[in-house]
Amino acid sequence: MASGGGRSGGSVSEFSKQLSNFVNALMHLAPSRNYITQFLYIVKMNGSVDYRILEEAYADIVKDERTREAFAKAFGISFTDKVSLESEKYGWFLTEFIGKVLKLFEDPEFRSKVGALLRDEYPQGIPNLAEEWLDVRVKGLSSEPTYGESAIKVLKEIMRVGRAKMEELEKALGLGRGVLIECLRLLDLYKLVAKDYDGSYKPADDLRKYPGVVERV
Amino acid sequence: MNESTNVKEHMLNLINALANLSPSRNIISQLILLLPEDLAVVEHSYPEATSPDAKGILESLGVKFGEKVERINDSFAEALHKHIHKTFDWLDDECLYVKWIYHGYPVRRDGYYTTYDVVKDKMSEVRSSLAKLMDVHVNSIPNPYLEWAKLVLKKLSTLHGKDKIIGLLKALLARDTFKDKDWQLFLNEVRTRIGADPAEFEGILRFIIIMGEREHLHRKGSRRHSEGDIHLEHAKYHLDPLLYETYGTGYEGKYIVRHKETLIRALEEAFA
Repeated sequence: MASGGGRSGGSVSEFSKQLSNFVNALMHLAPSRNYITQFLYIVKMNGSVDYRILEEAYADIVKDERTREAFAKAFGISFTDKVSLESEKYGWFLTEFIGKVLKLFEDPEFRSKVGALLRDEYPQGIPNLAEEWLDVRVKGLSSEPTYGESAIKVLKEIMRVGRAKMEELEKALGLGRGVLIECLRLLDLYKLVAKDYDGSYKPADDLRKYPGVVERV
Repeated sequence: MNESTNVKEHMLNLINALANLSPSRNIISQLILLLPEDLAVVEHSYPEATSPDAKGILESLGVKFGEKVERINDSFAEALHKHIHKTFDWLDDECLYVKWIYHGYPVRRDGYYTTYDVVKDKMSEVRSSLAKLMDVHVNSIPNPYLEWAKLVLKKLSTLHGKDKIIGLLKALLARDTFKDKDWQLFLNEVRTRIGADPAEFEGILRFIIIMGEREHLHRKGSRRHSEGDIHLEHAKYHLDPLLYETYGTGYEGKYIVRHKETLIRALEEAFA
């Protein structure tokens, strides 16, 4: 079977060309690099998100009726007072696949093997898309106009102590309950913290793996 | 994450990325789609993919090299294989799903009462919705299934002669469904008509129509009472033009022909 990419034999350089196209295509799907997959992946991570929140965070998609309808039909998104991906429709499948792409690019062995073959194209190495996605979420959080700055403080405190209850955060940071609730809501939206069975908050698993992302903010 | 963003541009990038992952445009996707395969065949057909460096990368993707080259269960290669099928269907308006219909009161179904029904449906407005969103003509949206079908049909016609390939597919595409009992009659009749010997006909069938590998897609009926299942019939080159639908114990199943318009177009364009 021939490829549409134009093959010229069994050379390593031909494979490198094909690999470059393949890796580029996968990287373009990453939620850190594409606004559409970012929107879909945020909805996927949360199960469902309040319409009101997405209207603010992804206004270009959610506020415009024509765009919203096209998204609903093309990806299988339900827009009611909550926004969710309909099971077994393409948006749901695509985000499942994107999860696998993030996992693949988190694998140092894969990155190093690909990086060795595509050194000219990626002199800095193949990016870790999982870490990059975390970075985008943290930066997104910090740029939130009303509560972003406080939310980063809350996140840093939770990371410092390992886990904390609402009252402990209130005391440690001197924030009011209302502000703290909004900060934790944002941290939950971006899946940067997880709530434990006893009501305490702990850093999300990927933040434990890549704490430097928050330190850099 | 609230920044002024060009939705059209990002959508175009997404569609292009998905199209570039399709087997007609990339040999890594193509090889992964066509596995399992004998090592000797892979070495002959994809010599560039069997160098030590290339093998190392393919192994990281979840490809296992032995006498047979295979996808490893639960690997990235397996996820890609599934994703290619979903994208084929999606960008060809064939993405099938089941929807739950909530009645709000009990309804009788074959002696059972249920408040839910599960029925199959198709995402049939994907291409037109994407075209509207991007302000482009619907034909300018890539169709990875069409691209792949043309490539496969051309390749097979060099092996078996285009008349046999066209004859078989045209006969299949002239129908919408086949009951179990009609299916074998149909095959016998077409085999005689296109003049293929039984072994060759079996090979062509296996390549483009049906190879006996059935993937369960959906269960139909209500929550309590199944009214059958829907399966995808895989073929070696994954044009997969048939679904197999069952209707519960004791009822005859049927084959449903899909991707009809696109396969007709692929025949016209491949052999123009």
